[in-house]
Amino acid sequence: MPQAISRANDMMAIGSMEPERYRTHYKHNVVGCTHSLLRTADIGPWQLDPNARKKQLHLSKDLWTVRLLSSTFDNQVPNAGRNRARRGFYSNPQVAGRSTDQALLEQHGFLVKWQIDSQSSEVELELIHTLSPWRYGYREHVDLRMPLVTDETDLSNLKFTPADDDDLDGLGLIDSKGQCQRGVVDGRSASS
Amino acid sequence: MDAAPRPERVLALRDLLGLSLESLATSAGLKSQGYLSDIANGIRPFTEQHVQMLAKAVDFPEEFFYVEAPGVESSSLNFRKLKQSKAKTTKKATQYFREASRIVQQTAPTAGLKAKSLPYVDEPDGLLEVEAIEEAAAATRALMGVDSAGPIPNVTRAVERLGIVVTPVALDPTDDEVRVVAEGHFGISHGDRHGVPVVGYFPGASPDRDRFTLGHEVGHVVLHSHRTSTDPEKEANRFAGALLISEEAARSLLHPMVTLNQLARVKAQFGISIQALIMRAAGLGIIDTKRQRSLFVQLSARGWRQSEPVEVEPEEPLLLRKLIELSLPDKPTTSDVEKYMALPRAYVRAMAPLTSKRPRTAGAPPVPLVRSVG
Repeated sequence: MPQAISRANDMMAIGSMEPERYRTHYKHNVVGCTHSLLRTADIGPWQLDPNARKKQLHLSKDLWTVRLLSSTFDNQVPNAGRNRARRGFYSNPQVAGRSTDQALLEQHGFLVKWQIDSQSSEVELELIHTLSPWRYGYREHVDLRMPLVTDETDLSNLKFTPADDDDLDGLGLIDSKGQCQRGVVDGRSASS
Repeated sequence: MDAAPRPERVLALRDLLGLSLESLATSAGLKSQGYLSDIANGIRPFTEQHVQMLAKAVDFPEEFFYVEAPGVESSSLNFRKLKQSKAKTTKKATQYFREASRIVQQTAPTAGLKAKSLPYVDEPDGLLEVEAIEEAAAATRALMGVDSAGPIPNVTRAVERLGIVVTPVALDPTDDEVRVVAEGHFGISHGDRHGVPVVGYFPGASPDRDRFTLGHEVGHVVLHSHRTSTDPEKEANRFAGALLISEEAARSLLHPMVTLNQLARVKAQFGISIQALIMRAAGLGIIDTKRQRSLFVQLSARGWRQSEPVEVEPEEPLLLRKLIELSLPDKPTTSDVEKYMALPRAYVRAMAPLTSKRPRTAGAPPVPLVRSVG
Protein backbone atom coordinates (compact mmCIF):
# COMPACT_ATOMS: atom_id res chain seq x y z
CA MET A 1 0.00 0.00 0.00
CA PRO A 2 2.81 2.52 0.65
CA GLN A 3 3.84 2.03 -2.97
CA ALA A 4 0.29 2.85 -3.99
CA ILE A 5 0.50 5.97 -1.85
CA SER A 6 3.64 6.99 -3.70
CA ARG A 7 1.86 6.54 -7.00
CA ALA A 8 -1.21 8.42 -5.75
CA ASN A 9 1.05 11.26 -4.62
CA ASP A 10 2.58 11.39 -8.10
CA MET A 11 -0.90 11.52 -9.64
CA MET A 12 -1.93 14.35 -7.34
CA ALA A 13 1.28 16.21 -8.13
CA ILE A 14 0.64 15.92 -11.87
CA GLY A 15 -2.78 17.45 -11.34
CA SER A 16 -1.37 20.13 -8.99
CA MET A 17 -3.82 18.89 -6.36
CA GLU A 18 -2.81 18.98 -2.71
CA PRO A 19 -3.87 15.75 -0.96
CA GLU A 20 -4.99 17.72 2.11
CA ARG A 21 -7.32 19.86 0.01
CA TYR A 22 -8.56 17.14 -2.36
CA ARG A 23 -8.81 14.47 0.30
CA THR A 24 -11.54 12.35 -1.35
CA HIS A 25 -9.79 12.31 -4.71
CA TYR A 26 -6.57 11.39 -3.00
CA LYS A 27 -8.18 8.45 -1.18
CA HIS A 28 -9.75 7.24 -4.42
CA ASN A 29 -6.35 7.42 -6.08
CA VAL A 30 -4.74 5.43 -3.25
CA VAL A 31 -7.45 2.78 -3.48
CA GLY A 32 -7.21 2.65 -7.28
CA CYS A 33 -3.43 2.34 -7.22
CA THR A 34 -3.59 -0.33 -4.51
CA HIS A 35 -6.16 -2.26 -6.57
CA SER A 36 -3.93 -2.05 -9.60
CA LEU A 37 -0.87 -3.26 -7.67
CA LEU A 38 -2.78 -6.07 -5.93
CA ARG A 39 -3.94 -7.42 -9.27
CA THR A 40 -0.43 -8.57 -10.03
CA ALA A 41 0.95 -9.00 -6.51
CA ASP A 42 1.30 -12.36 -4.78
CA ILE A 43 -1.34 -12.23 -2.05
CA GLY A 44 -1.22 -15.89 -1.15
CA PRO A 45 -4.57 -17.63 -0.73
CA TRP A 46 -6.48 -14.35 -0.83
CA GLN A 47 -8.29 -13.21 -3.95
CA LEU A 48 -8.98 -9.69 -5.06
CA ASP A 49 -12.38 -8.99 -6.55
CA PRO A 50 -11.40 -7.47 -9.91
CA ASN A 51 -14.93 -6.26 -10.57
CA ALA A 52 -15.70 -4.58 -7.25
CA ARG A 53 -17.64 -1.36 -7.66
CA LYS A 54 -15.36 1.66 -8.09
CA LYS A 55 -12.47 -0.81 -7.83
CA GLN A 56 -12.88 -0.97 -4.10
CA LEU A 57 -10.58 -3.30 -2.24
CA HIS A 58 -12.54 -6.47 -1.63
CA LEU A 59 -10.54 -9.55 -0.79
CA SER A 60 -11.79 -13.01 -0.06
CA LYS A 61 -10.50 -16.33 1.18
CA ASP A 62 -12.83 -19.27 1.53
CA LEU A 63 -15.73 -18.10 3.71
CA TRP A 64 -14.11 -14.83 4.75
CA THR A 65 -14.29 -11.53 2.96
CA VAL A 66 -12.37 -8.38 3.79
CA ARG A 67 -13.16 -4.86 2.66
CA LEU A 68 -10.57 -2.15 3.04
CA LEU A 69 -12.10 1.20 3.93
CA SER A 70 -10.42 4.49 4.59
CA SER A 71 -10.74 5.91 8.05
CA THR A 72 -13.23 8.68 8.73
CA PHE A 73 -11.88 12.11 9.67
CA ASP A 74 -12.50 11.32 13.39
CA ASN A 75 -10.96 7.84 13.18
CA GLN A 76 -14.31 6.07 13.56
CA VAL A 77 -15.38 2.88 11.81
CA PRO A 78 -17.15 3.90 8.59
CA ASN A 79 -20.91 3.50 8.85
CA ALA A 80 -22.69 0.92 6.68
CA GLY A 81 -25.12 3.52 5.33
CA ARG A 82 -28.31 2.47 3.56
CA ASN A 83 -26.89 0.19 0.91
CA ARG A 84 -28.48 -3.20 1.56
CA ALA A 85 -25.54 -5.27 0.37
CA ARG A 86 -23.25 -3.29 2.61
CA ARG A 87 -25.61 -3.63 5.56
CA GLY A 88 -25.59 -7.37 4.94
CA PHE A 89 -21.81 -7.37 4.92
CA TYR A 90 -21.83 -5.63 8.31
CA SER A 91 -24.06 -8.36 9.80
CA ASN A 92 -21.98 -11.19 11.17
CA PRO A 93 -22.14 -13.84 13.87
CA GLN A 94 -19.98 -13.10 16.88
CA VAL A 95 -16.36 -14.31 16.80
CA ALA A 96 -14.93 -12.87 20.00
CA GLY A 97 -15.24 -15.28 22.88
CA ARG A 98 -15.96 -18.28 20.67
CA SER A 99 -13.59 -21.00 19.57
CA THR A 100 -11.50 -20.28 16.49
CA ASP A 101 -12.57 -23.55 14.84
CA GLN A 102 -16.20 -22.45 14.90
CA ALA A 103 -15.41 -19.08 13.34
CA LEU A 104 -13.45 -20.76 10.55
CA LEU A 105 -16.54 -22.65 9.42
CA GLU A 106 -18.74 -19.58 9.18
CA GLN A 107 -19.05 -16.83 6.65
CA HIS A 108 -17.66 -13.55 7.97
CA GLY A 109 -17.18 -10.09 6.64
CA PHE A 110 -14.27 -8.14 8.08
CA LEU A 111 -13.37 -4.52 7.65
CA VAL A 112 -9.82 -3.31 7.48
CA LYS A 113 -9.73 0.39 8.14
CA TRP A 114 -6.72 2.22 6.75
CA GLN A 115 -5.26 5.64 7.32
CA ILE A 116 -1.97 7.31 6.59
CA ASP A 117 0.08 8.69 9.45
CA SER A 118 0.88 12.23 8.44
CA GLN A 119 4.33 12.20 10.08
CA SER A 120 5.78 8.85 9.08
CA SER A 121 3.60 8.13 6.01
CA GLU A 122 3.19 4.64 7.45
CA VAL A 123 -0.14 3.02 6.63
CA GLU A 124 -2.02 2.12 9.79
CA LEU A 125 -4.36 -0.82 9.43
CA GLU A 126 -7.04 -1.90 11.84
CA LEU A 127 -9.05 -5.11 11.65
CA ILE A 128 -12.70 -4.72 12.61
CA HIS A 129 -15.42 -7.33 12.91
CA THR A 130 -18.91 -5.85 12.91
CA LEU A 131 -22.01 -7.56 14.30
CA SER A 132 -24.66 -5.40 12.69
CA PRO A 133 -25.06 -1.96 11.14
CA TRP A 134 -25.64 0.99 13.47
CA ARG A 135 -27.15 4.39 13.08
CA TYR A 136 -24.75 7.16 12.21
CA GLY A 137 -23.56 8.89 15.34
CA TYR A 138 -24.39 5.94 17.58
CA ARG A 139 -22.10 3.39 19.20
CA GLU A 140 -20.49 0.95 16.76
CA HIS A 141 -21.67 -2.67 16.89
CA VAL A 142 -18.35 -4.45 16.79
CA ASP A 143 -16.87 -7.33 18.77
CA LEU A 144 -13.32 -7.11 17.47
CA ARG A 145 -11.08 -4.15 16.76
CA MET A 146 -7.34 -4.67 16.59
CA PRO A 147 -4.41 -2.89 14.93
CA LEU A 148 -2.60 -4.78 12.18
CA VAL A 149 0.29 -2.39 11.87
CA THR A 150 3.76 -3.80 12.18
CA ASP A 151 5.23 -2.53 15.39
CA GLU A 152 8.86 -2.31 16.42
CA THR A 153 8.64 -5.62 18.25
CA ASP A 154 8.04 -7.32 14.92
CA LEU A 155 11.01 -5.48 13.43
CA SER A 156 13.27 -6.59 16.25
CA ASN A 157 12.65 -10.17 15.15
CA LEU A 158 14.05 -9.43 11.73
CA LYS A 159 17.63 -10.42 11.11
CA PHE A 160 20.20 -10.53 8.32
CA THR A 161 22.41 -13.58 8.54
CA PRO A 162 25.40 -13.64 6.19
CA ALA A 163 26.06 -16.85 4.33
CA ASP A 164 28.26 -19.32 6.16
CA ASP A 165 30.90 -19.31 3.48
CA ASP A 166 34.56 -20.27 3.70
CA ASP A 167 35.07 -20.76 -0.01
CA LEU A 168 38.23 -19.10 -1.31
CA ASP A 169 38.34 -21.22 -4.40
CA GLY A 170 39.57 -19.49 -7.53
CA LEU A 171 42.38 -17.65 -5.77
CA GLY A 172 44.93 -20.32 -6.59
CA LEU A 173 45.79 -21.00 -2.95
CA ILE A 174 47.86 -24.13 -2.57
CA ASP A 175 48.66 -26.09 0.56
CA SER A 176 51.97 -27.66 1.49
CA LYS A 177 51.08 -30.75 -0.56
CA GLY A 178 50.51 -28.61 -3.61
CA GLN A 179 46.76 -29.09 -3.50
CA CYS A 180 44.21 -26.37 -4.13
CA GLN A 181 42.24 -25.11 -1.17
CA ARG A 182 38.53 -25.61 -1.48
CA GLY A 183 35.93 -24.33 0.93
CA VAL A 184 32.34 -24.77 1.96
CA VAL A 185 29.37 -22.48 1.36
CA ASP A 186 26.34 -22.94 3.61
CA GLY A 187 27.26 -26.54 4.24
CA ARG A 188 27.83 -27.44 0.60
CA SER A 189 31.18 -27.99 -1.06
CA ALA A 190 32.17 -25.04 -3.19
CA SER A 191 32.20 -25.65 -6.91
CA SER A 192 35.17 -24.72 -8.99
CA MET B 1 70.88 -12.36 12.12
CA ASP B 2 72.62 -11.82 8.81
CA ALA B 3 71.19 -8.47 7.72
CA ALA B 4 71.62 -5.24 9.61
CA PRO B 5 68.76 -3.87 11.70
CA ARG B 6 66.74 -1.16 10.04
CA PRO B 7 66.61 2.19 11.87
CA GLU B 8 63.24 3.13 10.36
CA ARG B 9 61.69 0.22 12.26
CA VAL B 10 62.24 2.14 15.50
CA LEU B 11 59.79 4.76 14.29
CA ALA B 12 57.47 2.00 13.08
CA LEU B 13 57.51 0.53 16.58
CA ARG B 14 56.85 3.91 18.14
CA ASP B 15 53.82 4.49 15.91
CA LEU B 16 52.50 0.96 16.26
CA LEU B 17 52.53 1.15 20.04
CA GLY B 18 51.40 4.77 20.16
CA LEU B 19 54.36 5.65 22.36
CA SER B 20 56.81 8.53 22.35
CA LEU B 21 60.47 7.94 21.58
CA GLU B 22 61.16 9.16 25.09
CA SER B 23 59.07 6.49 26.81
CA LEU B 24 60.44 3.88 24.42
CA ALA B 25 63.99 4.90 25.25
CA THR B 26 63.23 4.85 28.97
CA SER B 27 61.64 1.39 28.93
CA ALA B 28 64.50 0.00 26.83
CA GLY B 29 67.09 1.49 29.19
CA LEU B 30 68.62 3.61 26.43
CA LYS B 31 70.38 6.84 27.28
CA SER B 32 67.79 9.38 26.14
CA GLN B 33 65.09 10.22 23.69
CA GLY B 34 67.68 12.12 21.64
CA TYR B 35 69.90 9.06 21.53
CA LEU B 36 67.07 6.87 20.21
CA SER B 37 66.06 9.60 17.81
CA ASP B 38 69.58 9.64 16.41
CA ILE B 39 69.41 5.86 15.95
CA ALA B 40 66.04 6.08 14.22
CA ASN B 41 67.33 8.78 11.89
CA GLY B 42 70.51 6.91 11.02
CA ILE B 43 72.81 9.39 12.77
CA ARG B 44 74.02 6.78 15.25
CA PRO B 45 74.50 3.12 14.35
CA PHE B 46 71.63 0.75 15.16
CA THR B 47 73.30 -2.23 16.77
CA GLU B 48 72.20 -5.76 17.63
CA GLN B 49 72.40 -4.78 21.29
CA HIS B 50 69.95 -1.91 20.72
CA VAL B 51 67.61 -4.35 19.02
CA GLN B 52 67.76 -6.75 21.95
CA MET B 53 67.06 -3.96 24.45
CA LEU B 54 64.10 -2.61 22.49
CA ALA B 55 62.64 -6.04 21.72
CA LYS B 56 62.85 -7.09 25.35
CA ALA B 57 61.28 -3.84 26.58
CA VAL B 58 58.17 -4.16 24.41
CA ASP B 59 58.08 -7.96 24.13
CA PHE B 60 58.46 -7.93 20.36
CA PRO B 61 60.45 -10.45 18.31
CA GLU B 62 63.85 -9.13 17.26
CA GLU B 63 62.93 -9.89 13.64
CA PHE B 64 60.63 -6.86 13.75
CA PHE B 65 63.71 -4.62 13.48
CA TYR B 66 65.26 -6.54 10.58
CA VAL B 67 62.28 -7.05 8.35
CA GLU B 68 62.00 -5.08 5.16
CA ALA B 69 58.82 -3.07 5.29
CA PRO B 70 57.72 -1.65 1.95
CA GLY B 71 56.88 1.99 2.31
CA VAL B 72 53.16 2.58 2.21
CA GLU B 73 53.04 6.33 2.55
CA SER B 74 50.09 7.79 4.47
CA SER B 75 48.95 9.74 1.43
CA SER B 76 48.35 6.53 -0.50
CA LEU B 77 46.12 5.08 2.21
CA ASN B 78 42.42 5.69 2.16
CA PHE B 79 40.89 6.25 5.53
CA ARG B 80 37.25 6.22 6.48
CA LYS B 81 37.12 8.11 9.76
CA LEU B 82 35.34 10.90 11.51
CA LYS B 83 36.90 14.34 11.38
CA GLN B 84 37.44 14.41 15.15
CA SER B 85 39.56 11.23 15.13
CA LYS B 86 42.68 11.62 17.22
CA ALA B 87 45.87 12.08 15.22
CA LYS B 88 47.73 9.65 17.49
CA THR B 89 45.15 6.92 16.90
CA THR B 90 45.25 7.57 13.17
CA LYS B 91 49.04 7.18 13.22
CA LYS B 92 48.75 3.97 15.20
CA ALA B 93 46.10 2.59 12.87
CA THR B 94 48.19 3.52 9.85
CA GLN B 95 51.24 1.67 11.17
CA TYR B 96 49.16 -1.33 12.23
CA PHE B 97 47.72 -1.47 8.74
CA ARG B 98 51.19 -1.15 7.17
CA GLU B 99 52.31 -4.16 9.21
CA ALA B 100 49.24 -6.13 8.11
CA SER B 101 49.96 -5.18 4.51
CA ARG B 102 53.59 -6.21 4.93
CA ILE B 103 52.46 -9.66 6.04
CA VAL B 104 50.02 -9.86 3.12
CA GLN B 105 52.69 -8.94 0.55
CA GLN B 106 55.09 -11.42 2.17
CA THR B 107 52.69 -14.38 2.36
CA ALA B 108 50.60 -13.94 -0.81
CA PRO B 109 53.25 -15.16 -3.29
CA THR B 110 54.15 -18.16 -1.11
CA ALA B 111 50.50 -19.16 -0.82
CA GLY B 112 50.01 -18.77 -4.57
CA LEU B 113 47.39 -16.03 -4.34
CA LYS B 114 46.06 -15.05 -7.74
CA ALA B 115 43.90 -11.95 -7.51
CA LYS B 116 41.12 -11.27 -9.98
CA SER B 117 41.47 -8.44 -12.41
CA LEU B 118 39.47 -5.69 -10.74
CA PRO B 119 37.40 -3.18 -12.74
CA TYR B 120 39.70 -0.28 -11.89
CA VAL B 121 38.42 3.09 -12.99
CA ASP B 122 40.96 4.92 -15.13
CA GLU B 123 39.01 8.12 -15.70
CA PRO B 124 40.89 11.42 -15.46
CA ASP B 125 41.41 13.00 -12.05
CA GLY B 126 38.52 15.01 -10.62
CA LEU B 127 35.01 14.06 -9.62
CA LEU B 128 33.46 10.99 -11.20
CA GLU B 129 30.00 11.03 -12.74
CA VAL B 130 27.59 9.00 -10.61
CA GLU B 131 26.91 6.76 -13.61
CA ALA B 132 30.59 5.79 -13.69
CA ILE B 133 30.47 4.86 -10.00
CA GLU B 134 27.30 2.82 -10.51
CA GLU B 135 28.95 1.02 -13.44
CA ALA B 136 32.08 0.26 -11.42
CA ALA B 137 29.98 -1.11 -8.55
CA ALA B 138 27.90 -3.20 -10.97
CA ALA B 139 31.09 -4.57 -12.56
CA THR B 140 32.45 -5.43 -9.11
CA ARG B 141 29.21 -7.20 -8.21
CA ALA B 142 29.38 -9.14 -11.47
CA LEU B 143 32.97 -10.13 -10.72
CA MET B 144 31.80 -11.32 -7.31
CA GLY B 145 29.26 -13.50 -9.08
CA VAL B 146 26.37 -11.78 -7.34
CA ASP B 147 22.93 -11.61 -8.94
CA SER B 148 22.29 -8.14 -10.39
CA ALA B 149 19.32 -7.49 -8.09
CA GLY B 150 20.12 -9.68 -5.11
CA PRO B 151 21.92 -9.05 -1.83
CA ILE B 152 25.58 -9.93 -1.30
CA PRO B 153 25.27 -12.92 1.03
CA ASN B 154 28.68 -12.39 2.66
CA VAL B 155 30.50 -9.18 1.72
CA THR B 156 33.73 -10.14 3.46
CA ARG B 157 34.05 -13.39 1.56
CA ALA B 158 32.94 -11.84 -1.71
CA VAL B 159 35.67 -9.19 -1.33
CA GLU B 160 38.27 -11.80 -0.41
CA ARG B 161 37.36 -13.92 -3.44
CA LEU B 162 38.35 -10.94 -5.57
CA GLY B 163 41.82 -11.31 -4.11
CA ILE B 164 41.49 -8.32 -1.78
CA VAL B 165 42.70 -9.18 1.70
CA VAL B 166 40.43 -8.10 4.58
CA THR B 167 41.85 -7.57 8.04
CA PRO B 168 40.42 -6.24 11.29
CA VAL B 169 42.46 -3.36 12.70
CA ALA B 170 42.47 -4.05 16.45
CA LEU B 171 45.24 -1.55 17.26
CA ASP B 172 45.86 -2.97 20.70
CA PRO B 173 45.49 -6.72 20.29
CA THR B 174 46.27 -7.34 23.94
CA ASP B 175 43.28 -5.31 25.14
CA ASP B 176 39.82 -6.64 24.32
CA GLU B 177 38.18 -3.52 25.66
CA VAL B 178 39.64 -1.22 23.03
CA ARG B 179 36.85 0.40 21.08
CA VAL B 180 38.60 2.01 18.19
CA VAL B 181 35.40 2.90 16.43
CA ALA B 182 34.45 5.10 19.36
CA GLU B 183 37.42 7.21 18.37
CA GLY B 184 35.97 7.71 14.94
CA HIS B 185 37.71 5.20 12.68
CA PHE B 186 35.88 2.87 10.36
CA GLY B 187 38.16 1.59 7.63
CA ILE B 188 41.50 1.88 5.83
CA SER B 189 42.74 0.49 2.54
CA HIS B 190 45.28 0.59 -0.25
CA GLY B 191 45.04 -0.51 -3.85
CA ASP B 192 47.28 -2.48 -6.18
CA ARG B 193 50.02 0.16 -6.14
CA HIS B 194 51.44 -1.60 -3.10
CA GLY B 195 50.90 -5.15 -4.32
CA VAL B 196 47.87 -7.14 -3.20
CA PRO B 197 45.06 -4.71 -2.29
CA VAL B 198 44.28 -4.74 1.43
CA VAL B 199 41.20 -3.49 3.24
CA GLY B 200 41.08 -2.96 7.00
CA TYR B 201 38.07 -2.34 9.20
CA PHE B 202 37.91 -1.39 12.84
CA PRO B 203 36.05 -3.93 14.98
CA GLY B 204 33.46 -2.59 17.36
CA ALA B 205 31.02 -1.08 14.91
CA SER B 206 27.74 -2.78 14.09
CA PRO B 207 28.08 -5.55 11.47
CA ASP B 208 25.92 -3.63 8.99
CA ARG B 209 28.38 -0.76 9.30
CA ASP B 210 31.26 -3.20 8.78
CA ARG B 211 29.63 -4.40 5.57
CA PHE B 212 29.27 -0.80 4.42
CA THR B 213 32.84 -0.02 5.45
CA LEU B 214 34.13 -2.92 3.37
CA GLY B 215 32.07 -1.69 0.41
CA HIS B 216 33.43 1.82 0.95
CA GLU B 217 37.04 0.64 1.08
CA VAL B 218 36.62 -1.57 -1.99
CA GLY B 219 35.24 1.59 -3.59
CA HIS B 220 38.53 3.33 -2.81
CA VAL B 221 40.47 0.40 -4.26
CA VAL B 222 38.46 0.34 -7.49
CA LEU B 223 37.90 4.08 -7.93
CA HIS B 224 41.06 5.62 -6.53
CA SER B 225 43.94 3.25 -7.19
CA HIS B 226 44.59 4.65 -10.66
CA ARG B 227 43.27 8.19 -10.34
CA THR B 228 42.81 11.01 -7.85
CA SER B 229 39.40 12.34 -6.89
CA THR B 230 38.47 15.73 -5.51
CA ASP B 231 35.96 14.03 -3.21
CA PRO B 232 37.04 10.42 -2.71
CA GLU B 233 34.88 9.85 0.38
CA LYS B 234 31.68 10.84 -1.39
CA GLU B 235 32.56 8.60 -4.33
CA ALA B 236 33.40 5.66 -2.07
CA ASN B 237 30.12 6.09 -0.17
CA ARG B 238 28.17 6.03 -3.41
CA PHE B 239 30.07 2.94 -4.50
CA ALA B 240 29.35 1.17 -1.19
CA GLY B 241 25.63 1.85 -1.50
CA ALA B 242 25.61 0.65 -5.11
CA LEU B 243 27.57 -2.45 -4.19
CA LEU B 244 25.28 -3.45 -1.32
CA ILE B 245 22.01 -2.72 -3.10
CA SER B 246 22.08 -2.40 -6.87
CA GLU B 247 20.16 0.33 -8.65
CA GLU B 248 17.82 -2.31 -10.05
CA ALA B 249 16.99 -3.65 -6.58
CA ALA B 250 16.74 -0.18 -5.04
CA ARG B 251 14.31 1.03 -7.70
CA SER B 252 12.14 -2.03 -7.29
CA LEU B 253 12.03 -1.97 -3.47
CA LEU B 254 12.18 1.73 -2.60
CA HIS B 255 9.74 4.43 -3.63
CA PRO B 256 9.14 8.14 -2.94
CA MET B 257 7.02 7.54 0.16
CA VAL B 258 9.06 4.63 1.51
CA THR B 259 8.67 4.33 5.28
CA LEU B 260 11.08 3.38 8.04
CA ASN B 261 9.30 0.08 8.62
CA GLN B 262 9.71 -0.79 4.96
CA LEU B 263 13.37 0.22 5.05
CA ALA B 264 13.86 -2.05 8.05
CA ARG B 265 12.56 -4.95 5.97
CA VAL B 266 14.91 -4.09 3.11
CA LYS B 267 17.72 -3.98 5.67
CA ALA B 268 16.83 -7.52 6.74
CA GLN B 269 17.04 -8.59 3.11
CA PHE B 270 20.24 -6.79 2.08
CA GLY B 271 22.24 -6.32 5.30
CA ILE B 272 22.57 -2.57 4.77
CA SER B 273 21.67 -0.05 7.46
CA ILE B 274 18.47 1.99 7.30
CA GLN B 275 20.53 5.19 7.27
CA ALA B 276 22.56 3.95 4.30
CA LEU B 277 19.33 2.97 2.55
CA ILE B 278 17.93 6.47 3.00
CA MET B 279 21.13 7.89 1.50
CA ARG B 280 20.96 5.36 -1.34
CA ALA B 281 17.34 6.26 -2.11
CA ALA B 282 18.24 9.96 -2.06
CA GLY B 283 21.33 9.39 -4.21
CA LEU B 284 19.25 7.66 -6.86
CA GLY B 285 16.60 10.40 -6.70
CA ILE B 286 13.97 7.92 -5.50
CA ILE B 287 13.14 10.16 -2.55
CA ASP B 288 13.44 13.93 -2.53
CA THR B 289 15.34 16.05 -0.01
CA LYS B 290 12.18 16.73 1.97
CA ARG B 291 11.44 13.03 2.38
CA GLN B 292 15.07 12.30 3.20
CA ARG B 293 15.00 14.93 5.95
CA SER B 294 11.69 13.62 7.24
CA LEU B 295 13.02 10.05 7.43
CA PHE B 296 16.10 11.18 9.34
CA VAL B 297 13.91 13.15 11.78
CA GLN B 298 11.79 10.04 12.34
CA LEU B 299 14.93 7.97 12.72
CA SER B 300 16.13 10.27 15.51
CA ALA B 301 12.70 10.40 17.14
CA ARG B 302 12.61 6.61 17.34
CA GLY B 303 16.16 6.45 18.70
CA TRP B 304 17.24 4.51 15.62
CA ARG B 305 20.22 6.72 14.81
CA GLN B 306 22.05 5.17 17.74
CA SER B 307 20.48 1.75 17.62
CA GLU B 308 18.67 0.55 14.52
CA PRO B 309 16.29 -2.40 14.59
CA VAL B 310 17.06 -5.56 12.56
CA GLU B 311 20.11 -7.43 13.71
CA VAL B 312 22.86 -8.03 11.16
CA GLU B 313 25.14 -10.88 12.16
CA PRO B 314 28.89 -10.32 11.88
CA GLU B 315 31.09 -11.65 9.09
CA GLU B 316 34.63 -12.85 9.57
CA PRO B 317 37.66 -12.56 7.32
CA LEU B 318 39.47 -15.73 6.34
CA LEU B 319 41.94 -15.06 3.53
CA LEU B 320 44.81 -13.58 5.53
CA ARG B 321 44.67 -16.47 7.95
CA LYS B 322 44.89 -18.88 5.01
CA LEU B 323 47.81 -16.97 3.54
CA ILE B 324 49.67 -17.10 6.83
CA GLU B 325 48.91 -20.78 7.41
CA LEU B 326 50.14 -21.66 3.93
CA SER B 327 53.33 -19.68 4.42
CA LEU B 328 54.30 -21.19 7.75
CA PRO B 329 55.92 -24.58 8.29
CA ASP B 330 53.67 -27.42 9.44
CA LYS B 331 52.69 -27.23 13.10
CA PRO B 332 54.27 -23.85 13.72
CA THR B 333 55.28 -22.85 17.21
CA THR B 334 54.74 -19.38 18.64
CA SER B 335 58.38 -18.72 17.96
CA ASP B 336 57.93 -19.75 14.29
CA VAL B 337 54.96 -17.42 13.89
CA GLU B 338 56.78 -14.49 15.46
CA LYS B 339 59.99 -15.16 13.54
CA TYR B 340 58.31 -15.45 10.13
CA MET B 341 55.82 -12.66 10.64
CA ALA B 342 58.17 -10.42 12.64
CA LEU B 343 55.38 -9.48 15.01
CA PRO B 344 54.15 -10.74 18.38
CA ARG B 345 51.72 -13.63 18.04
CA ALA B 346 48.91 -11.51 19.56
CA TYR B 347 49.19 -9.08 16.64
CA VAL B 348 49.19 -11.86 14.05
CA ARG B 349 46.14 -13.45 15.63
CA ALA B 350 44.36 -10.10 15.76
CA MET B 351 45.09 -9.44 12.09
CA ALA B 352 44.04 -12.95 11.09
CA PRO B 353 41.60 -14.10 13.77
CA LEU B 354 40.08 -17.52 14.17
CA THR B 355 36.75 -17.76 12.41
CA SER B 356 33.49 -19.52 13.16
CA LYS B 357 31.80 -17.95 16.12
CA ARG B 358 28.63 -19.22 14.54
CA PRO B 359 27.90 -22.95 14.56
CA ARG B 360 29.15 -24.42 11.32
CA THR B 361 26.92 -26.61 9.29
CA ALA B 362 29.69 -28.54 7.62
CA GLY B 363 33.34 -28.45 6.72
CA ALA B 364 36.44 -28.89 8.77
CA PRO B 365 36.66 -27.25 12.20
CA PRO B 366 38.91 -24.19 12.38
CA VAL B 367 42.52 -24.94 13.14
CA PRO B 368 44.33 -22.68 15.62
CA LEU B 369 47.11 -20.65 14.05
CA VAL B 370 49.53 -21.95 16.65
CA ARG B 371 48.95 -25.60 17.30
CA SER B 372 51.69 -26.04 19.85
CA VAL B 373 53.39 -23.40 21.88
CA GLY B 374 57.12 -23.61 21.78
